[in-house]
This record gives sequence, C-alpha cells and structure tokens, in this order.
Amino acid sequence: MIHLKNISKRFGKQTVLHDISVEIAPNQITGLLGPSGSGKTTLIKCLMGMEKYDAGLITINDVTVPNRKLLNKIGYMAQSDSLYHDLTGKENIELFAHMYGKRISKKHTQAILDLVQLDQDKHKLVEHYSGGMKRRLSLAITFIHQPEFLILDEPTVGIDPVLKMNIWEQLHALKESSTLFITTHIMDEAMKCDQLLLMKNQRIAASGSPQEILETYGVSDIDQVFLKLEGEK
Amino acid sequence: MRTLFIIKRICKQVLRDKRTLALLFLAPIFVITLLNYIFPDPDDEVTIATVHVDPDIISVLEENQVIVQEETDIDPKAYLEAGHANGVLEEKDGEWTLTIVNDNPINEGPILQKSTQAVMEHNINELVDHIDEAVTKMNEFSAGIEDVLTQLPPEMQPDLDTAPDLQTDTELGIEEEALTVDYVYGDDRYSFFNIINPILVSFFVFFFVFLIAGMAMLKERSSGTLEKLLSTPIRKSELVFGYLFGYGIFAVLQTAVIILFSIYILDMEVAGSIIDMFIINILLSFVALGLGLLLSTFVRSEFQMMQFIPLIIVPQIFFSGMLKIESMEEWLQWLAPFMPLYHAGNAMLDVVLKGFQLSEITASLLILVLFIVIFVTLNILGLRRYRKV
Ligand SMILES: Nc1ncnc2c1ncn2[C@@H]1O[C@H](COP(=O)(O)OP(=O)(O)O)[C@@H](O)[C@H]1O
Ligand SMILES: [Mg+2]
Repeated sequence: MIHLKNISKRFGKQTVLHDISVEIAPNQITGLLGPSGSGKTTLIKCLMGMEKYDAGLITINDVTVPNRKLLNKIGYMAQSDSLYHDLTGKENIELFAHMYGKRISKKHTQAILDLVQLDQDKHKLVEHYSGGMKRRLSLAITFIHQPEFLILDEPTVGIDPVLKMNIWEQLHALKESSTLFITTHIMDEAMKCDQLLLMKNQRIAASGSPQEILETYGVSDIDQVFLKLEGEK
Repeated sequence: MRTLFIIKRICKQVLRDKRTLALLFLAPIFVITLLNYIFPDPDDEVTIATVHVDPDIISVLEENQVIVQEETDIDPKAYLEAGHANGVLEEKDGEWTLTIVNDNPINEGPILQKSTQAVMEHNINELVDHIDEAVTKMNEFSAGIEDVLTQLPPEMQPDLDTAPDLQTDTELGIEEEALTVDYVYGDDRYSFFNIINPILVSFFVFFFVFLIAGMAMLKERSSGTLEKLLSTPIRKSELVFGYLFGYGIFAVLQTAVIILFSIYILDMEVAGSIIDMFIINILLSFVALGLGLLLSTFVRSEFQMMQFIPLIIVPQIFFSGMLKIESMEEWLQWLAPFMPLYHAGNAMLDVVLKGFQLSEITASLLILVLFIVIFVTLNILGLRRYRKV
C-alpha cells in the first residue's frame, strides 16, 4: 500500500503540492489527472524518493520514503524516454535488469520482448527506434523485475491511438500482480483508470472511480468536472 | 556487481563510438608528433658574426659547432635582417654585446646559450689567470713574513706554518681551457621538446580524459538515463565507481599509448623508470575522470562543458612545471598545490629528466590520490540531486 499523508512541497517560493493525503489501492490502476504544470511529476518524484518533500509522510508497505531498498519493488517510467540510444533494445533491457540484481532468464526477456512486440527489433540500436518503439521499450523495462508497484509518468504521451489501446490493455493485464499509479493530462484516458485523483491548485480536488466522480458532479465527462471545479473557485 | 555491469556498458558504448575512440587515442598522438617536429633540432647550424672578438672566444665557439664569420665594421641590425647570420657578437672595452633578431625565442635559444658559454669560458679563464697572479703575490708576501719571523728571538717565534697552505691554494683544480659546461640533468642535445614532453604527456592524459568523462556524464544526465538508473536500487557509490572504472579502462589504455609512443616512436629519453611514469599518469587520469564527472553537474550543454577548458584546464598548464613557480607572484604560488597537473607535471619531470625513484615522488602521488578521494566523494554526494538516499 502507498500512503501519502499531508504532503507539501515547494520550489523556492512556489508551492507545488499543498497538503496532499492519498491512499493508493492495491491491484488497481490509479490515475493522477491534472493539467500540465499542476505538479504530477513532482508528486511522483517525491514518491520515488527523487525529490524531498517538505512536510508530511510517504510510506510504501509501511516503509518511509525515501528508502533505497524500496526501489526493488517499484518499476518507474519517467516522462521522457530514458534509454541508451547507443545500445540495442535487448541490451537496454538486460542492463536495467542487472541493476535490480535479477538474473533474468532468456525466456523471461523473450516473453517481455514479445509482450511489447519488440522481438523483431531487439538487436537494433535504440537510436533507430521510432517514438512508439521507445515508449514500448521503456514500458518493458519498468516491469522487467516483476515489481509490486508500477509508477508511470504519462506513459502514453505522444503515441498513436492503436499503440495507446495496446498499452492500456497491457496495463490492465499487469493489474493482477501489481499496483499501478499513472499520471496523465489527457482527459479521455482517465475513464480507463479504476480510481482517479484530480489535481487542481496544488491539491487533490476530487477522487473516486471515474463513474463516482461524474455522478458527484452531475456531468457526462471529466473535462466538465474541471470546468466545474474552476467555477467553484 | 552492479558496478561491473555499468563498466561493461561503458566499454560497449565507447567501442561503438568511433569519434570518441579517435579523440582518445589518435588526437594526443597527432599533437605530440606535431610538437616533436615543430621545435628546432639543437643540432641545427648556428652562424654568429663576431666583431673585435678575442680569438680565444672564437675558438670556443668553433669548438661548439658554431660557424663564425669574423667581421670588422658592420651594422648588426642590417646585417641580421639581411640574414647573414643568426647573431652578432661584439666586444667593446670588455663589454660583450650579443645582437639577435628576437622574433622567435625558441630559435634563438641555441645562439644565446652558445655565445654566453663562450664568453663565460673566456672570463673564467681570465679569472683563473688573476687568481694565479694573486696567489703568486701572496706566496712572495708570506716568504717575506717568514724572513721577518726568522729574525725574531726563538721564544717569540709563533708556531705558524703559512707557506704550505698557500701552496695548496694555487692548485685550485681549474686548469686553463678546461671549462666544460656540465648539465645537471640530460645533456646539451636536449631540445625544448625533451623537457616539455613529459609534461605534455600528463597534460594530454588530463585533458582528454577530463573532456570525455565530462561529455559522457553530461549525456547521461540530459538523456534521463542517470535518473532512470537511480530509480533502481543501485547505490550511488556503485554508480560512481562504475563510471570511474569504466572510463578508467580507456584512460589507462590512452596513457599507455601516449607514453609508449613518446618513448619508442619519438625517442623520449627517460632517466627514471617507465613504471613510475605509468603510476603518475594513471593516478592523474583518475583525477581527471573525477573532476570531469563532477563538473558535468554544473553544465547543461556540451558547449558549457567546453567553457571549463579555459577556466580549469589552461591555467594548470602554467603550473605544470613548464614555468618556474618560485618566480611567480606570491598569491599565484599559493594556487599551485591545488592543481593536479602541478603535482603530476613536476613528478614527471623528476622521473623522466632527473631519474628520481618512486620513493622520491611519493608525496606527489599521495596528493593525487587525495584528489581522487575528494572528487569521488563529491560525485557521490552530488548524485543526491537525483535521489535522496
Ligand atoms: N526542479 C524544479 N525546480 C523548480 N520548479 C520546478 C521544478 N520541477 C518542477 N517545478 C515546477 O513545479 C510545477 C509542477 O511541475 P510538474 O510536477 O512537472 O508538473 P506536471 O508534471 O503536472 O506537468 C511547475 O510549475 C514547474 O515549473
Ligand atoms: Mg509531468
């Protein structure tokens, strides 16, 4: 379980996160939805121990973040593709697998390559990959060590609709063994999540399943929730 | 374990990058070769025109393979500019004047050296003559005293034996025409290249390793892979040691190539041991690695990395042993110990020119080790920027 209790974070004078308290339910996809610049990436970096939070407490399985060993249980995908362009796809996968100290079998590597449909291109240098291929490779690397938690920062940004569908299917398949925490600023993706957290003005303005949120605000899509939230102010 | 995989990855990347390989191995060889041929050969002919110069001096010059043209009445400036000689040496009332064009200090080195040597030999020979004269006079004088003393009553005669002392003094050990210039280190065939080459070896090791480590780390930061690596449970120290040894392998290879090339192809003479040269430069290359990795923290682009060259690299050349630290401004002398190249350059001169043993350069080596420890620690701490544990 991931617990965030009264988290605040500021960069200099700018408050980015204000008193955020959230519980992330296991074996579900929790989506953090908010416009660009609302602080989604910052929240995720606090969760990963990459950024210091100024107040509050984050625990993962009752261990206080930051903690290096916790990272064994987490698969992380940054907003930008963080791949070695001068290595092949397969070499990238193997390198990061070794970082988790896992001696992964050839079979497992192969299964993962098949899953993200990169088997054909595994010996190509990543610099010759298309944008979509890089995203898929990044995704594959996040679950190479079969982590308990998957934390993905805008995993589907900038890829074509077919591939997006494909990735969402994979994410739902991963739910069985993992807890997923995903950020997005694309409203129609929100409906694919099991739980939603809506970020507005450095806080969580609404939370619940997509259906619950729509009912509470009496609207038919998430865009309108944000408009209503805007109006409330 | 993780360190090993980081090292393996770096090797793969460097071997695939032909430009980096060329920069590591061919560029230093190219520059060192160029320098070897740029500096004039000390065996080149030197012509000096002499005006009213003592034949003694002319013969000394000729002994030193200088071509002498005896002139009587010339305008040195016009004479030199017409290219008749490399220098004009004149004597007037015991004063010596050497006129040279002075448009190229390196070329003028041999003329200056050879004519001052000739003049000095002459003067010292004269001095020896004067001393002889003085001694003879003193001998006469003491003989006079003895005469006086013998005329005193026996009980008053002091127990003095002056003559023998003076006798030994006349044998000053300087024979006429026996002045030879002794070089404490090396010999008169040393060109400027011989002296600066050991320093250059160190300089190139430092410069290229610094640049490549800095650039590679910069790429790692800007591509997000550093952050990604730190999202795995790798220790920050494992990562830093991975970089250090990964690039260290190539730094060691580069050092070996530069040293062996200088010795076997360019005939650099090494008075001390080659092993000691390796030790100095391998330590230095690790200092450069640590510094390059560290400074990449403060830059956003390759261009900004280049801006460190005039700031961090170039000033170190001045302190590397090419120039005399003792003759610098006092506040500048203070800076020297903070520069890795100061320690490495001077240790190289000690080993290559003076033939020092390992035990005589330990202090410099320990300081280099200290630099490595400091830079590695700072690098590990610096990674806190990407992960708080
Ligand atoms: N390292 C940083 N230093 C200063 N300000 C930052 C830093 N990182 C993010 N910010 C600011 O925090 C705010 C939230 O950024 P971010 O978390 O990236 O938003 P999002 O991921 O939702 O687009 C932005 O205004 C951004 O400018
Ligand atoms: Mg973001």
